[in-house]
Amino acid sequence: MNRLQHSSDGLALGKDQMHRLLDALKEYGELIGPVHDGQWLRMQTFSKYEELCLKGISWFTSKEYFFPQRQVLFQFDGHSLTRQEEFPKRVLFGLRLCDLNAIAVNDKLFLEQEPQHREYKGYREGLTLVGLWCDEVQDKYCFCSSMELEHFYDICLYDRGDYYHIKAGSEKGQEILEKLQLLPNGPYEKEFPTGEMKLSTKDIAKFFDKNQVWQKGAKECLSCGDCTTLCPTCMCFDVQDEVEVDLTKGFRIQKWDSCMYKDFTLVAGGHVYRNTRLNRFKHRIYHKLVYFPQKFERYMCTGCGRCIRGCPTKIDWIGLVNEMEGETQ
Amino acid sequence: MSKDYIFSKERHMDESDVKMLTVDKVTQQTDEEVLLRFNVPALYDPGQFFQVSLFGIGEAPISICSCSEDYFEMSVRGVGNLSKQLCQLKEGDSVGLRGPYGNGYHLQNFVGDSAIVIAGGCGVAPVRGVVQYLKEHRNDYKDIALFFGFRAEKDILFEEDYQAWKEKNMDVDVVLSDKSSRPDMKHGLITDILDTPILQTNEKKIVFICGPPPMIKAVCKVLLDKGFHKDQIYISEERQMKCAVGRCGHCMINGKYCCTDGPVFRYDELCEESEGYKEEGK
Amino acid sequence: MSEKLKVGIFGITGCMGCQLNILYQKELLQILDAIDLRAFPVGKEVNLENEEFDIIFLEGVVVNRRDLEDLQRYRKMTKKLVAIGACATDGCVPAIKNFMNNKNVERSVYKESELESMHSLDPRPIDDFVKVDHYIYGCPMDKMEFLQFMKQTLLGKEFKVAAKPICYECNLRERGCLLEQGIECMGPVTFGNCSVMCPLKNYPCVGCRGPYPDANFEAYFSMLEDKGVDKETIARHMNRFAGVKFARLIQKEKEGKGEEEKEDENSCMDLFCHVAKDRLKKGDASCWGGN
Repeated sequence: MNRLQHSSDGLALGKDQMHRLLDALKEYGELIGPVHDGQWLRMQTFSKYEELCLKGISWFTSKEYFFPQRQVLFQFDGHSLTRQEEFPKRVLFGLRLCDLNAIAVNDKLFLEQEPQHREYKGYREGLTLVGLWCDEVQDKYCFCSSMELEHFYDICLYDRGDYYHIKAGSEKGQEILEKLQLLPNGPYEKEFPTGEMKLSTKDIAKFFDKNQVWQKGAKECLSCGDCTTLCPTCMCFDVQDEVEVDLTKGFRIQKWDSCMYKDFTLVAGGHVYRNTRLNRFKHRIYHKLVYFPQKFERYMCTGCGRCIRGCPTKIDWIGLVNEMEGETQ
Repeated sequence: MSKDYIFSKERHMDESDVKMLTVDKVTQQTDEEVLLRFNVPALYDPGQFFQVSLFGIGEAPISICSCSEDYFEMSVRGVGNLSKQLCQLKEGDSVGLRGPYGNGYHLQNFVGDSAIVIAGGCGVAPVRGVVQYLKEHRNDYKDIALFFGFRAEKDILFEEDYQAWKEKNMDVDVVLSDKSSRPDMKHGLITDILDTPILQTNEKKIVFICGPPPMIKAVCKVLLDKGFHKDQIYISEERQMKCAVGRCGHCMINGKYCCTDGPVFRYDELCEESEGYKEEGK
Repeated sequence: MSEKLKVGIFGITGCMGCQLNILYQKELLQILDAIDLRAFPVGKEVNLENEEFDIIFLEGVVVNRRDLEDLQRYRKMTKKLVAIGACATDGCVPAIKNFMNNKNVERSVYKESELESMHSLDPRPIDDFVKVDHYIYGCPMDKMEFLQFMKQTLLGKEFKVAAKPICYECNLRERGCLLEQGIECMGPVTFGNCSVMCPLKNYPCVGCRGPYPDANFEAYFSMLEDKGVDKETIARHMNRFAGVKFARLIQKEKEGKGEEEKEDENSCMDLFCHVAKDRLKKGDASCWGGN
């Protein structure tokens, strides 16, 4: 993605003209956006603007569209190996800044270190990202204002009542907007909304030994792995072989995995390295806020709040960190 | 004069980039261990590993136990689903390989020092590459001492090499933990034979340890008590690995990826603060 | 492979649904090509018994002494014994009786005059009596899992399913959490790998695949109680398919905790601990005459 220097200048597009934008975007692939099924908001294919639900944050993430839960690495048939050559083109529409930044995080892991992940690259290059700026905090679990998010999109929409202020964040976005021939709308900037949930510090390395506090979260943890499957930046995976009944043909599969399960660190011989719930619970948060930044110089968490929203017991790890930070002052 | 390497540490192969290769030689080492040899040019460091696969069974990291640019060897112990089947391989069978991966032993950084290698059980395999390197470059190093521990006589690995090593003025000391029927091998644990002159001082010495975690822990304690510094000790770690290129997350130890930052770590990079070493808190 | 695996498929007390599920297997003919099916009384006419098997698949729960004798005979006949279906693995519905008063149960079926000579036993999963090598869970047994077992075994692999709860697959299939909708679902404490067909049809998980080994029961119960589910309802859910295994695991979790963390005597945890302690002791249940 060739990103442009950030600017407030944008164009105006009436809401009744949205079909023009969508028609232009269709050239760039299958449209995928937030659709409400009566119970859940999820990212799925759509064709008309009216189908979309642009309020609230989707319960599920869009990571399935560039990091599929079941990715074939190659096919084997006893003689040769075949890799996936064709990757779909898709437009992710109406992504919030947290989910857009999550893609930036994943790019670091899969594309900005050697070797690049071939399949991720294939999907990623086919993606067009259309963001939707949050005018207000989407729900009480959002804490994105604590996470230093950046402008990362091809196109971003700002709701201005009966029209959208629309701006490009990349050369590709610019190219799309040029086709639409819209009227300039001058500069417009909207402050990032702040909700009730705030992370008071991100420097949690100093709390590593405060196990009495961490234990409060671990005690509530069901080890169900919902936080990791719903998280837009959790990219841990397992690799397995699937065979057909003839036992010679099959696939090598990359599947989503979760560090919340004991089996995740099981080695041949039976030893489990992160055996306690406490260790696993802590590991995930430390990966997001300490280990990942050490290596890639940005936080792995984007504050979407899904790990708390989607947790059956609603473990508030933000509250735990704030509690420990409060003690030090 | 660069060779046409099939595998090279400078070329990173991604998860789906598996090469199919036939095994050129299979040697039954013990009841449980088999040595696989591939006669293809490869550029690697001792201590690095390959991701070896059998299609349909799966993939697992196996460390390289040789040191040559013309071939590579791997010693496999049949403990898991894949390794058990690797032990059944015959010459000419084909396997999938990608690698070499990981941070190996960088012996060229210690020219002029004395080298001590301490290994137990199948942990002897990864350090055999180290010993071969030391043998090739014998004049670059001062004293060299090898301490190996095995369960019983039938478990001894690479005994055919010992004579050649001794001829190069490298001490080989073997201890057997079950019982010893051999006059040249003591009975006991590896920590029982470390009370030797070469380990009395830590001056200009470097120690490489490989073995089961409890052994590493015990040996490190003995060495630290003798005055060795943590940055003189290199250990080899073992974790579940899937991608081997630092992203699947399985092998992460306190933020370090065992597959890319390890498997060889300087002891002070991990030591007591690490999971697996530190007593788990309640 | 030089010699085909000698396989037997048998059943003790049960509904035969699991054995039928083998017949319904789409890949059945291909599997039959690869093995030597020596006995399968439900599916074939000529059955060899009393000889060496490599694998015996056994369906059913031990409810009487004849079941026990058969079970022990099958165990002696085979190298590997595989429990198929919730009856064999967890006791299933018949094992609910472990949580009820025996006389009351007998009275609900038989006449008062017959009760005199009656002495019914507590139904138990088969691993209460013999060593079981592998488990294929579900009520009925999961067809996919059976196929996975066959493929892995034919490849020479040790069959293993990673221990993940139902929730993992619900999320993969974008089945939003039923608990979030206020429906009592046993997903977080139940062993996954069943393609979550119940939740996908808006029916909560009822735990037919037995416990997820790493379940956190204390947190699960307190979450349900916070949602206003009463203890009796929770107990009824837990007992339905795998009460025996759930109760034992809950007791283990409780014992692993220090004194200071013990809950009040009326908690859900204790409800099960008492049963596990008094009645569910493995192998020496008093009704089985110390067997």
